[in-house]
Amino acid sequence: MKKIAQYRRQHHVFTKKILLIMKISTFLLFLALHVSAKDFAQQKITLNVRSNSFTSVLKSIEKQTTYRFFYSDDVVESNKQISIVVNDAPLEKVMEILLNNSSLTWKQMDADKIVIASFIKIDYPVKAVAVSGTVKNSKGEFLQAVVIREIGTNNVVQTTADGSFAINVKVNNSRLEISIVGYKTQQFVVGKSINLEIVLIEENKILDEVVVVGYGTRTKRGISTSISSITAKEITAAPVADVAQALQGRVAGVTIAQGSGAPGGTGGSDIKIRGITSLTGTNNPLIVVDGYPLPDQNANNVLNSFGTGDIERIDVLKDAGATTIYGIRGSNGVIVITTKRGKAGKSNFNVEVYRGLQNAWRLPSMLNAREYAIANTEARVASGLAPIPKLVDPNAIEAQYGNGTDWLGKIFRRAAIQNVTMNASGGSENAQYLFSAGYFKQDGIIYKTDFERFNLRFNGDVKVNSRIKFGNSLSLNKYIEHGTDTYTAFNSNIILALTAPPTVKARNPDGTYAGGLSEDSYAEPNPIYNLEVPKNNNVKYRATGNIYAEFELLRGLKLKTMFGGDYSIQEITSLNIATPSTGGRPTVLSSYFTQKSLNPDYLAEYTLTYDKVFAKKHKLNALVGYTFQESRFSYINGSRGNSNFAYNVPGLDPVIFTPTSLSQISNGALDGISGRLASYVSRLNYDYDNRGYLGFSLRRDGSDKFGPANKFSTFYAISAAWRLTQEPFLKNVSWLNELKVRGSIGTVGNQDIPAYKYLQSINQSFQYTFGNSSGSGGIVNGAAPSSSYNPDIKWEKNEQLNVGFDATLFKNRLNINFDAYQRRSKDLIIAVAPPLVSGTYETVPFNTGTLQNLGIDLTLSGEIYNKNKFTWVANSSLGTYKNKITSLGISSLLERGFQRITGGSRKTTLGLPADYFYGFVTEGIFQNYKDIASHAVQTAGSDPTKSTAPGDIKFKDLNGDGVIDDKDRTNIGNANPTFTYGLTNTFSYKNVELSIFIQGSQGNKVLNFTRWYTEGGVSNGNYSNAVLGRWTGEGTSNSVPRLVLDDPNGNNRVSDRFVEDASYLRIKNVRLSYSIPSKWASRLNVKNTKFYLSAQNLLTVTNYSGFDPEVGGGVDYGFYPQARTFFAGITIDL
Amino acid sequence: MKNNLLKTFLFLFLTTVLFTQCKKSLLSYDPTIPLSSVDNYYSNEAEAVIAVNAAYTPLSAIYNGAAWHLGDIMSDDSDLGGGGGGDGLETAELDNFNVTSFNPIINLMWAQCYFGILRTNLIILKVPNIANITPAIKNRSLGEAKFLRALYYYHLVRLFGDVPLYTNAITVVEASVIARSPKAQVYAQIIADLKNAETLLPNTYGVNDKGRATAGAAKGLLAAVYLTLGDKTNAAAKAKEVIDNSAVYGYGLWADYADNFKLENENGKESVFEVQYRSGGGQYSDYGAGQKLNTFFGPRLQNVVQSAGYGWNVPTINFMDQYEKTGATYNTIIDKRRQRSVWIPGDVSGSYTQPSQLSGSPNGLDVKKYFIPATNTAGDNGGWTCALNVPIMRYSEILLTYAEAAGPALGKSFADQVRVRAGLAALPAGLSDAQWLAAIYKERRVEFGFEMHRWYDLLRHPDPNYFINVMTAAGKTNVAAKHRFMPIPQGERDKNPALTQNPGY
Repeated sequence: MKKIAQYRRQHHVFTKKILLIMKISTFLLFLALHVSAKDFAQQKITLNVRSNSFTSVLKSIEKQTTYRFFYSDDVVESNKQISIVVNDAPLEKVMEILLNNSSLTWKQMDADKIVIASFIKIDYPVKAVAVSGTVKNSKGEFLQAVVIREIGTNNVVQTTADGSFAINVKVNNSRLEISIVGYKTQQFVVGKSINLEIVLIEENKILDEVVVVGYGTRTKRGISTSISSITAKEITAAPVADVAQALQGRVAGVTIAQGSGAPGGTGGSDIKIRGITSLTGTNNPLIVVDGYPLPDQNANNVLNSFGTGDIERIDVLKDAGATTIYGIRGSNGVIVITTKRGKAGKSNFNVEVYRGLQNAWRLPSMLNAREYAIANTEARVASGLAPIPKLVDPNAIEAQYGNGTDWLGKIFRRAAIQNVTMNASGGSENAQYLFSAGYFKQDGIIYKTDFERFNLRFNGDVKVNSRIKFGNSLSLNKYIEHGTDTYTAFNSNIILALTAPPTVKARNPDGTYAGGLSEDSYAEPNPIYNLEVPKNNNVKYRATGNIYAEFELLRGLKLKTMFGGDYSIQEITSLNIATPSTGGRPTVLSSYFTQKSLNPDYLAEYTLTYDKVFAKKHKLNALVGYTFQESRFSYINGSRGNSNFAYNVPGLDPVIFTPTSLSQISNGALDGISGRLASYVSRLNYDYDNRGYLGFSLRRDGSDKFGPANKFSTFYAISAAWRLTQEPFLKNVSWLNELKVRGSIGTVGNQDIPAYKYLQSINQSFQYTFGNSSGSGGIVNGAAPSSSYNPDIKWEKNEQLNVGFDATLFKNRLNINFDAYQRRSKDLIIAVAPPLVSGTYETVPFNTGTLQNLGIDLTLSGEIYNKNKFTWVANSSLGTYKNKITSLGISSLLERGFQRITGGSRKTTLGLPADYFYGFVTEGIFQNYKDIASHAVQTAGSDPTKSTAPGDIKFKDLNGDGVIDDKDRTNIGNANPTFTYGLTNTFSYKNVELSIFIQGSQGNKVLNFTRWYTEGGVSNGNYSNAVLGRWTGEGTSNSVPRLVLDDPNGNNRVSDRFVEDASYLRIKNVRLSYSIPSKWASRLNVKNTKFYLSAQNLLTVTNYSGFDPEVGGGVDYGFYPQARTFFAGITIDL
Repeated sequence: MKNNLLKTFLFLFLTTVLFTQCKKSLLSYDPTIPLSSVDNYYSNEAEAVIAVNAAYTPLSAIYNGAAWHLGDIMSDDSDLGGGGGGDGLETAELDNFNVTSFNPIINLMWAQCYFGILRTNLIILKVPNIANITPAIKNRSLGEAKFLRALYYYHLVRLFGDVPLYTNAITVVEASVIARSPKAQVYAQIIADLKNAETLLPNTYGVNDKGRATAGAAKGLLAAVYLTLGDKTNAAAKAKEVIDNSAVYGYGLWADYADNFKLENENGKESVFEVQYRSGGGQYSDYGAGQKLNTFFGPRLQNVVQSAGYGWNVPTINFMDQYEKTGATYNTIIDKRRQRSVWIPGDVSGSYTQPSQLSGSPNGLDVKKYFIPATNTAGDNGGWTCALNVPIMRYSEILLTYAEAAGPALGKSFADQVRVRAGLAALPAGLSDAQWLAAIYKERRVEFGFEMHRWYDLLRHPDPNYFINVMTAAGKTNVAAKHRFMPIPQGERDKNPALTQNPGY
């Protein structure tokens, strides 16, 4: 024993004397207690040490835990090099490994003090039997660092890299316990065999996956609610700006339809988790990024400002058990996005680059010049109009124009897409960082449209000491979009390109825009002009971030404070300049519009969590918290129209804002708070022995949207799960590795109504004029209520019930997750159209009616084949639900109509799915006048002998009153799919991986509005190829009506004729990748390099006749179709 | 370092506590939000005036979107022209007397009148409580509100008969159960409001307020209401009151009939009350600041008016026959009113000549009363928003009201004033009462052609079958007794079970 010894505790040096006393007392204690008192704290230790000194290993443990080691240098001075690999191991196990085969022993003194001292072996038995062996997994791979322990002793060894071990045991009936994280622990009786070949069965690794739940995390094992997750690999597979689009088909029960294929996803994605819960409120899930619940911007573009490459994982919380913690915003489910963070250890640098080409996967076929001339003349003659002289002779047209102008070919193009993401991450045990930068540019497949995004991220975590941790997430983004109208029925450039006649040229010989000539009798704007001249700019800046601090007040009791902000600034400008000729617009004056809007959102959050294990088997996790969030929205805009500023005026030239007449300018502004929430959250999880799980969550939300009596609301949920495979009767069923049954019940809410509807607000936007001035002077403002009010309005209450199971079968090769659910929205907020007698016309929200969804989510995943380095992994998801209105309360009917189609509408009525298509039923084509005379009058208020002719559509007289009118409309289908599904197959062989992702939707209907223009004779525009099969005489067709201009019979009214089955199956993504072998990688000094070739939307199988069957909202107004994209990329990890 | 951390946490703790403590106040709405509610508005003079302005706005929509379909196209004066087919089905329903309770024109009239009624009710309830207001503005505001309320109820009661009558700030729940009040009660309210309005309203306005209701307008409207009710005594007395005080109100006839419909003469001496429109280059809408009649009545697709021209309101031959003429053709019409009222073939405007036949107008006729040529961009710069006002009542109506109510002996000189201005001879003396009524009816028909009066004149005729006989003679064989009242809009009946339907619908 040395005279001077150094004891370590935070660099304090103790005196020799004290030391001596301590050592003696320690020794005595050990004698008395041995190691039986094992009330160790449950701090877990992870070590990955190769040949390091004993003391440095102890230092590593001290860094991770609150344990502090006491030892004298002489005790541990041996130069023995230690190797130890443990993952989340308890202290006991680590110490056993460390001190194995040494003369040292250890003892926990106070809570954290660990004393290591020499041990005098009083009665330790002589090792009698030498046992050796190997440990493999089920794939035959040798396992390193498996702990082999003789039960009842401190006798422990670990396997080496080749999976072998050797241990001396007491007697030959000693029992050995073989354990390693990720595998099921096994026991063996040594017996006669002293050379053991042990095969460990993998524990279901999925169970150890950490799932991000509201205000915390849990391992999958202990989840008693319905949560689905996807990880970075699936997210980055799709070449999209909006991460929502990457979720499509990946998660059972989540239906995603793109509102538009416009570049950058600026059309927004329609995300529905388990169908809709609200008729007039939002049906968008709450999106939480790194703990920050983003304000609902109608889900439009909420996510396309973030870099997809930054995302680590997405957890989708689906049932009330999971979402109640988000209370009044939880009814539509919650999408929890977690971004990547730095990890302790070596630094990483990752670069990912891809480039690709996109084109439209299908364009409708339109008539060529000759066919158009024939069809147009036929339609005009049929309606009693003189033919357009130019079009009378189809032969002359063909001679002059050939096939004519291919307008679709002119507006669609092959377009580039590219993406670069770089991130650097790393850090020490005490501080971790991640920086990332991304650039994404997508040219639209429609000429002149594009999207460009820059994003930066910094996420950091700092551990100040064993009790205090700080961190932040910060994302700075900017995008620039140049768009065009592809979303309004009236002005969509796609509609214009569909209908522009092939006999109109895009440009005149002098280069000016053509069209609008009287000889064409077609005066809609030239689509090329519409794409080239108006300059539409949409720029968005967004900073989203938070700073947190976590303080461990007592063992297991942590206080976390988070402050966050999400600021977005959007600038929209649109400059439309008069040009010498504007094809179809004989006099266009210049106009300029600009709008700046600001959308700041603030969050403050305080949570207290407590973790405690009682008597080893009872684990408690409790959370209480308070959060406050405020959203504001304001904008200011100004415009100048009807003026003559010249072509070359730059956007900021003051001349634009110097009008010559007040009538040329207008401005608008909105300024105010759009919502505040003050909430209390709480949750209690109780885990019993890794077998039973109970969760209880409670949230009390205060929202300023409701009147004084209804500001606060409380939501609760209970969930429970039982791992049946932990029970004796299932424990030894070999084919069943894991079976957990789950159930949850709870309430969530929806608060999405306009603010202050409990007051009767004054609308100050009325105008009237007084005074004698002509022209535009004398306009005065008026103020009056335009809506009524409901002092009792409150949140929408959604009651949800979920039962399900998670199973793992056949040696962990098949995973099944099944959920069945019922969701009932009671106190449904329905915007009730007031009786006009009330003197108001805006709808008033009332809590009335009930909406119900019943559904099933199923996920199957597993390894189908794994041999000889060839693996085939498949992953599939399926979701189906039935939506039904079970009560409408005081709002007897809701209708939504399209102004452009006579009698067309959507409707919501009792007992049917919400928002079904409401229209007429067709029963073929009138073949002759006798047929017409024997049927109901087709157009109310008209003389059937004038308005209806053979070749017109025959509408069914549903009420049998002899007249086809509003009352003959009925349910003609709805946009809800019967089921949606996704299937990913991943094949890998050595360094090559092929992944094929198929996604589809079955049974959803689309109202194809484009056909209103292209089959109808609503103008002198062009027709689709479908009219080639038109009725031209008795018996020629019973489905495509005759051509007649102005549609006297109303053939174009909304009817089942335009409602199409838009089921589809789509090879959404195919990806072939190759990772260079590790020896090349090390030669190149990189960790990993991967090349890939990929295709998005490679193949689509559908009967839908429009551009694309994925139509968000269910009505196809000629939306921007999705592109088929081929791209190639490389990922390098340095 | 350690100290700082401690301070940081102390701060965090404190903010936690602070935030938690003031949560109640965080959720009550912020007084800085510029949100006005019915409870806190109507609190000063400016707000009173702005509230009254909004009570006028339904007029723009009524005269853009409903009054001419009902007053003229449904009558024997004009028919629906336009493109035919499905174009203007709702108007065709009226024109052909197969109107249903789903008709949007009927619905527009109903809705806009009630919008005006709620707004005027709120003014009448709230403005008296404003402490700080000039008495003149207070009286004027209340007078305008009562005048407008009477006007809206007058439209409703003539068109629908019994209608829900309320004078309170009705809630949406009350509006869902309110029943129809008898016509007599509605008229009683109209008369009471107008009697009150005539005492509250000023006789004239300063230049910036022209177009607001005047005392003369209230009296004139009251005379018309009495006439509608067949109360000739009161109608004559009230009309005479206006005539006798015409200098006070500044009333008189323009020398040239056409002067009534000129941009520069808006709210001029012959104007008793008119709908105010302004050109704003706005969108196609019934509810904008501009008037859309110019485009809707302009010769179809001839571009002589802004936005092409739709030719929807086509005068009938029967109407044209009312003009006194010397020969068989329209060229020989001597009535000077024709030139401003109707386009006939050969009429010229700039380089445009009206053809003998147009799509939807087989005889080349179109309404010209509200015509502002496309070249006059100050009056109409496109987008279906013309600046020209539309008269609701002109001084000549007061004269003819008096003439009709007072009878041939007393009334002849007043009717003759109107005829002389039109370049016609005085009416013969010694007409019987029936002849007199017929003469006045004919005079009103040409004087107010396309001013949306005719249908109501047909209805108020002493012979209850008059409108049926006239319309049947005009070829509208569907017309029936039920058409005296239009159907109550179905949407309203769906929401309020207490609303009964008029017979026959």
